[in-house]
Amino acid sequence: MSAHWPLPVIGFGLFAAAPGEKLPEDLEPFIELPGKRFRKLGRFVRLGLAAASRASRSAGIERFPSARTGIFLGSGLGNLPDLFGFAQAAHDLTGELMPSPIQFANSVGNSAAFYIAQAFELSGPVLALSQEEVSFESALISAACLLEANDIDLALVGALDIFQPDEVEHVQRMGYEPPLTAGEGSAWLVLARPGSEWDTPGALGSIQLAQMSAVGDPSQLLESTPQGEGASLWLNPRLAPLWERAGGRTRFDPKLAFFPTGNAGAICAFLQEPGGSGTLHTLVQGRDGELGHIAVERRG
Amino acid sequence: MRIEIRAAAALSCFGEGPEAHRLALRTGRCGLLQRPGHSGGPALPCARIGDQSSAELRPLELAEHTLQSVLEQAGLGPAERRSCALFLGTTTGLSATEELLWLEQHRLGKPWHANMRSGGLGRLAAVLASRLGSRAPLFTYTTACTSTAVALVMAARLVRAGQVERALVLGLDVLMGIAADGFRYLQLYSETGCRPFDRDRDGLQLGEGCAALLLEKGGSGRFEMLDGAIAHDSSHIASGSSDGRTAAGVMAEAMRRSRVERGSITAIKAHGTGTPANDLSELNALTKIFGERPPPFSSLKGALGHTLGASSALETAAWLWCLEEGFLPPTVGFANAAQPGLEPLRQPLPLDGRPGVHLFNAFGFGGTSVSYLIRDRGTR
Repeated sequence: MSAHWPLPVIGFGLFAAAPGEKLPEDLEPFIELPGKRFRKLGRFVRLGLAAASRASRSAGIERFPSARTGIFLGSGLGNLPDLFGFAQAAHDLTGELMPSPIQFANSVGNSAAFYIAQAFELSGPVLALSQEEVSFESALISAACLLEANDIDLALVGALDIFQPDEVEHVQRMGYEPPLTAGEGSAWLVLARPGSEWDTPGALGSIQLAQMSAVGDPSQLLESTPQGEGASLWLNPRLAPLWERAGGRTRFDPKLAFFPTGNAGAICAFLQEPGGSGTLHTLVQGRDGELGHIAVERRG
Repeated sequence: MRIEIRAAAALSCFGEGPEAHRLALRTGRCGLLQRPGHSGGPALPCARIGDQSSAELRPLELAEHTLQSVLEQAGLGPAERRSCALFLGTTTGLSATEELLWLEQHRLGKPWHANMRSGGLGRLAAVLASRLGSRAPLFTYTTACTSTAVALVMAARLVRAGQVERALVLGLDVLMGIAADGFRYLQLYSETGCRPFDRDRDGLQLGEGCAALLLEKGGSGRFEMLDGAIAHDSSHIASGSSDGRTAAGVMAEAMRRSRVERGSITAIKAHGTGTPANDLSELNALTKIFGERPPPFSSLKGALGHTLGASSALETAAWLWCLEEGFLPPTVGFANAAQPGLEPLRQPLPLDGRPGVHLFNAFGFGGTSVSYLIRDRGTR
């Protein structure tokens, strides 16, 4: 799957908590929502808005081209807090909780993407994907497909995962065992269509490759990634046994252990690191064997 | 490049496969029946697969059964199965089974917790791909009621671009108490009947469905997936713009991308949920695009119920099966036009194997709006 790549990265935004900690409740999005409804939204949506607005600011874009911008949001677990909150209120045996219809509407898989599109006044394709630990890869590949087909000129590609209700259950829901450390966060890249007016020499770097498969051999994949100076590597917790074979590569540990979409956070942290040019490869494996690989180049 | 719809399989309130669906749709049957409330809730009309709750039937088994059915129909061997990319659309995934377990715990005063370890909505695709023996990419689109419409468009795009060799598009949604409660609290659930495009429509009714379509490049089969378009309507998270401008725009863009003139559209498989807002928006969009006399159009939700994320896959399969039999299916539940002269099919419309191009619409929560086109080579 190489036809779409590379894709210029012209901005990024990241909000991530330290492992084991929750993000603050009072996140500010840096953007106005119609009717100033931001504070009525749940944490999942607010976190996505906050990080996406950072990405737009990083790209220096005040107004996205409405029909020529797409949103592609990958989330491993989705908006469980709103879903469970509504369910518990609807089945409340004490009569203390009132079910909120808007909480039900906000629990759909594409709610965060909806509010981000609304805030940026977008009318192009707005997709939400959920593919366990290859969610960010699936969002990137979907974005690349529509960029290449000239449906859009810009793509906001994001990742978003939060605890429901806490770190321990977050870890268990993903099929890991405590005491594995997890975090929560949201990370976004702004990608430009090669050859479009947004594809300028000032790009921060590029996505060289994003690929995934239902099953695969992570060892073989690791061997195919470059070693030596300037080569960094990020592996998800399921691939921890491969660290010993990482060789001369920097074991890039941005302390952004939020997953299943933690690789997106690692990419943003890599892009904002001071220093010269370099490459980062993220490798992830899901519990059912699915394998993902993203290669990112940072310009000096 | 030609993208063929090589095989289709589906399971709904009418049963399994083409014959069951053709018979029910030709005779105008309604699969929506009054059922005991899900998990202790009030009784609601809904369209279930069989008599049991589908959560008890296990969503994973329904999905695997439907996938195996489409693979056997296409006669794919192990090597071809390895190259099948999976494009899933769902709003519930494996969650229905988890909800049942939670409700048992809830009655005992315990909180919902992660002991199911069922992951997110993408877990279903990961498990299915593993059982299928696929080594190809997998995508789970979670754009509410448009999930499998998005999956179909993206699958066709990635096949056409040579990024995947063949695509299995699967839609699955079974009834969950959360969904029924949610639509009731939003006052979108009709207790009197699903009446798409009717003057007196007052809401949707939920159904269960599982459907799969196999897309491949080349081929000489009867149905060709042309292209589609995806757009966003920011009006409200639970309803599109009443003037239908986004819906009209996405239909026009899908036709432009498919290089089909509006005068060449044979018929339209409408989204037609039976809610006042959706149907008003879609009717206005049809008028914007086609004027006062649009091509024949029909909604299948009065017959099959609204199967949410599975609806586009299920309704596409059912529509194509009706074409094979030589007719367009009627809109069950429709009686009186909301706008004079603008009404869906009341009776099956014979096409008798004429070639044509069919437009498919899907709109939903979260503002995602999708249209796509399928060419029917016909039998004449």
